[in-house]
Amino acid sequence: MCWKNLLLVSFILFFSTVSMKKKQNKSESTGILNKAFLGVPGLSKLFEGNIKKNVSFLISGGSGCGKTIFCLQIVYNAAKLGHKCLYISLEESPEKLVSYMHVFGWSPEELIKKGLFKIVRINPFEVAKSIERSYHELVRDKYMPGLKHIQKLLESDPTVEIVVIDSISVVEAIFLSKKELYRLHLQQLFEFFEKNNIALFVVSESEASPLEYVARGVEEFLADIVVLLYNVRQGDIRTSAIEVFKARGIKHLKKIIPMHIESGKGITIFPRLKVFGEEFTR
Amino acid sequence: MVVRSKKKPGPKSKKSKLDSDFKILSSGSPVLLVLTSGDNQDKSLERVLKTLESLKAHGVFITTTKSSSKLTKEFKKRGLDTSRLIFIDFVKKPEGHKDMNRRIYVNSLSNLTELSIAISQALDTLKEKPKFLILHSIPTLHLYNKPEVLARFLNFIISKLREWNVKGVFFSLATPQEGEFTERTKEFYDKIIKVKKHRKGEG
Repeated sequence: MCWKNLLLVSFILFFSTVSMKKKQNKSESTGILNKAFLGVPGLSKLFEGNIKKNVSFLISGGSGCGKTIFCLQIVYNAAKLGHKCLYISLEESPEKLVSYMHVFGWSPEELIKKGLFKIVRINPFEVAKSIERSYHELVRDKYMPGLKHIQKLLESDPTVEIVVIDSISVVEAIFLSKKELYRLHLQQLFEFFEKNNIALFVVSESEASPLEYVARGVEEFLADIVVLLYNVRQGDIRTSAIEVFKARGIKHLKKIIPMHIESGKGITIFPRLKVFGEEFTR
Repeated sequence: MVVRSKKKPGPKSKKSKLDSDFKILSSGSPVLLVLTSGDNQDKSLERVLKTLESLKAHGVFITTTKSSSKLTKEFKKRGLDTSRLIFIDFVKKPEGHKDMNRRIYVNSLSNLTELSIAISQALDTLKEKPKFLILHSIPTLHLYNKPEVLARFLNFIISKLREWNVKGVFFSLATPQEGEFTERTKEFYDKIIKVKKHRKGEG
């Protein structure tokens, strides 16, 4: 009887270990962003817990705050970990973006060859035309209104896990007199990526200083997580800083944190430290 | 009736008073404010460094007026071990690759954020214990930063030093101009040491 009990216990232990490993693998697969964030030292400390796979980010800040570098650093790390990333640029050419990456010591060529990292440039005016046509002319095709340009890109590789759109402000500028259409397009965009289980990073221009930042409404409302990058003037110098302005359903650090952007290194965030300056003593 | 004249304290006892004041550094992670007049700054600094050396401590030296290379030469002349120090220099960017890991350059005295990052990085670099931080000196930072900003910075850094178990020595001047600021921030420190004017013949 003794050996039968031993055999039973062994079976129970074996199957419970197998099911634990399965559970672990499932939670690991939803931690893509948590792992990708490790490529930006200090970034993971801004959030507590697992970030869902299909979360949408708004990365907002003034000119030269580091929005593009921030996104490139995250997707570069994600691609190195074997996750397929698509960088859609509406401003800079792929060659220029790759040259920026070289400045920070990153070499994406191998990842591009392996198909893990793709940079494409699309014309924002073509995007705007396509959006207008699909909404006003009710073009009936297999694509969702206003998302033809995105869906066509993803058709060529449906296994993409992270997409960056840099930047949405260019499209917004074209739709200045047609804000409703722009809002509708944004809503469709965010919904599309969420339904397709793809993490989305949308870059947009805003004020460089925390005192001047005003939430514009649409993008901040639609995005699950809003990260603001600042370039604050202090006397005769400027200090880089970062803030998680909003994080739907995720506990996050609620303060403005200093940040470094260094050649050969990229962005480093210092969650234990503070930003000092006149603006922060008012 | 025997009249005993009050004996004036000789140079030797003044020296031992200073040494006994700095003895507080030997345990825990106290944070001191040392108030000097212009002419006794160097001597006080030397005393602090020798006390910390005797404790086999390694630390970070923030210099706001002299370059780290000049200070290194001066310290070596006085027989101090500069291999225990990492300098944070505002004055001159270190040239070449010599001693780059012992020197961090901060581009502006008004960049307190950058200074806090440099302090954090320098202390992280030091693997040895005990650790210390010397800031020389507050009045120079005061020229480039508003009092409330500097006060917030000092408060933050001192709280971090306590959290990280690092001894701190901050130098300032015992002048009326600095007096108001010292009064406002005196609660930050564990002890305030006023170094009296240096007299000839004193050690």
